[in-house]
Amino acid sequence: MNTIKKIYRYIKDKLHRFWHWIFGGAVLAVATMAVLGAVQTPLPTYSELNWVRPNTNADWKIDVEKEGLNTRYDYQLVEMDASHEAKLLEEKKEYDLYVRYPDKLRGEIWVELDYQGLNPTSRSVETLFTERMAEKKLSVDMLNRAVERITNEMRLRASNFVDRTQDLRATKPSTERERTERAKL
Amino acid sequence: MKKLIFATILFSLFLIAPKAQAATYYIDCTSGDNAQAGTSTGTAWLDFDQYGETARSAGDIAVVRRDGINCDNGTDLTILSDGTLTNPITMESDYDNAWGDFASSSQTYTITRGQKEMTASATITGIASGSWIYVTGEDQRVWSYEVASVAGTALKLYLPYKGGPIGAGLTLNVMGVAPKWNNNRANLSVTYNTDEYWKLQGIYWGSGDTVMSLQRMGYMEIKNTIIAGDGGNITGLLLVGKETVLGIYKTRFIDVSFGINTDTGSGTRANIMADDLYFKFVANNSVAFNIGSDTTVRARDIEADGLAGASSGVFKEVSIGTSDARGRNITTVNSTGFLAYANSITTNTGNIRIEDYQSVVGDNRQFSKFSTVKGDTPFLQSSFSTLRSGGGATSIEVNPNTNVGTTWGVMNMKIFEYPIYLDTTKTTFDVYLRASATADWSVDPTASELWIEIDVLASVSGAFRYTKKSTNTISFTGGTTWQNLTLSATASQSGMAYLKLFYAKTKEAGSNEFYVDIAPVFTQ
Repeated sequence: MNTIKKIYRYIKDKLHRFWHWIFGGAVLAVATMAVLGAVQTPLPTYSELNWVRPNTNADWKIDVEKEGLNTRYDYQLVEMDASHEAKLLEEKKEYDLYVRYPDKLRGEIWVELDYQGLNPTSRSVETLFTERMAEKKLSVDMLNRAVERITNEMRLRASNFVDRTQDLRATKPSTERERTERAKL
Repeated sequence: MKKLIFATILFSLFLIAPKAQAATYYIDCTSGDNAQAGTSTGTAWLDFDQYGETARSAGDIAVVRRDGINCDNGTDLTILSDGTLTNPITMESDYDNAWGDFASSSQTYTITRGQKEMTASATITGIASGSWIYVTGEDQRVWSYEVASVAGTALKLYLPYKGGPIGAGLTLNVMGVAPKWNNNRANLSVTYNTDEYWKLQGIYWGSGDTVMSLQRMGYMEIKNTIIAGDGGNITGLLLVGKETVLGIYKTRFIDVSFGINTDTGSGTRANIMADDLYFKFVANNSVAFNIGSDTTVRARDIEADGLAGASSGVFKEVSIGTSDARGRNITTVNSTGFLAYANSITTNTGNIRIEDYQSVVGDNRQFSKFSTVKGDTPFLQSSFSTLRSGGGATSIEVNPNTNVGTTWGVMNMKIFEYPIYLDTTKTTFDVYLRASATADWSVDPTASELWIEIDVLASVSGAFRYTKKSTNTISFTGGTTWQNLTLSATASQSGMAYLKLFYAKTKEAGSNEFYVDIAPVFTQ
């Protein structure tokens, strides 16, 4: 009985002296396992549109020139506005569909991979899903920017804030229509 | 008076000015600047993004200076705008010497049509591998060719010359190397998504990923182009979604696994017209045309170099659904792989038809669900050896499989269909057939399993035709002599009739191989 008590007191003493090491070690072990379990190679990131929407007419004047719109005749701006707005509508519709029902796109990707014998995994599907959504968003954003630039160029001209006569005279007309428009300048 | 004369002259100059294209922009991948206007060679842009990722008007053209090797900005190229059917948006390398850096060859050349080799009058100078040449006086957009190699007086092209001038003493104009997008073949891609009516010409496109993705494109034309992968599992052109129409001409594919891929599992309905393509493969199981469902391919003068592997092919028909691929003058070199690969031979109704198989004139072959084996095993092919005396110059060798049968109309194998102009005289048609060997047959085909039929105009007015079928049989078990199926018909009015031969007997244990004389006999 005394021996047992001695052993008990010995163990208790050791535990008391080293409990912080034991406790710290246990915490470290648990934390390590949690971290190792959680860490995966992050999914790649993709290009985003790097555009600051202008706030003033002066800023818009500079911004639209990046799209080359200062060298477009009025009739071209009208045509471009129509075609790009129609395209934006189409792209937005598809993007909104995938935002609302992302599993539809995931399903399509899964079918594609499976069809090509590429053994789809949740990770490969997710990688492609992220890529496709980013591409789609970029496309929508670029179209949106184009439409905004076109409509603002038209607005700036209509309000006489800009006079593009010089810019248009500097370009070489290539079609009969352009020659006609140039003659009116 | 002088002012009037001057004005008249000036006005006349406008009248005789050459009809130009739409708005033209210039890209110089070496010394351009995206902050510039891009409307002249002096104010050229630096990269393709400035042109492709900003709003374009239908009819815009970008002229890209040759020899540039950094036409990308390190990111994917996502195309923004549509052209129209009559005013496509174009991106092409310089064909009109806009920067004044073209040259003429110092030597003259002897040129033979259909050959890749040209011989110079003296050691060649001023031309190197990658240069583009055209014979003086030719339309350079149509008849320019990329130089593969130069050695002494020997100049070799990647593609056979098909231009007009041939013979000796010809002068070449020399243009620079095609400008390069993603020369390092990094993981960048060009994406056309519902961007319709574009033309690309004379440009090198590289990638370590899918080079170019054409999604629901409408019309796209690619000419005089180089599509380059990095030797891995790369697709050159990926057609996704519905109704992309692709015209692709005089284009070279290198280091890709799939040249043109329309098989994405989601249905494609692509329409591809191809002429003068060269594929250089390095990876196993590479495919030039990977043909998905409901896709039509019309291809001519195709060469594939380096095909290898059990599922390789110039044409690989892969998908459930109806696809139709036709090729003329298709060749493989340095290859152990297949020219035609009918993958889904049990489930679909697709066809691959090749004329001048491996560049042999008159060697025509057809592959489909009736082929006995997937790779390079035609169920119909030309025979030059088993011929009927007094018959045609070739015969058709028929090799059926177990997909042939009478249960469904689609299981009937149509061996030929000939349009024939008939008058109203009674006409007898005889088609001659023979077995390859009697040992290949256990039971002879019945009249419902092997027959000819003729569609003739049925009444004195109107275009209604009625079909009459043969009722006699052939004995393949009895011998290998030529025997005839016979049929007589009388048209009610003169006009086109259609003579067809059908086979619908399911393959027995033996090969059931037989021959058909291509020249039916008509007797009136």
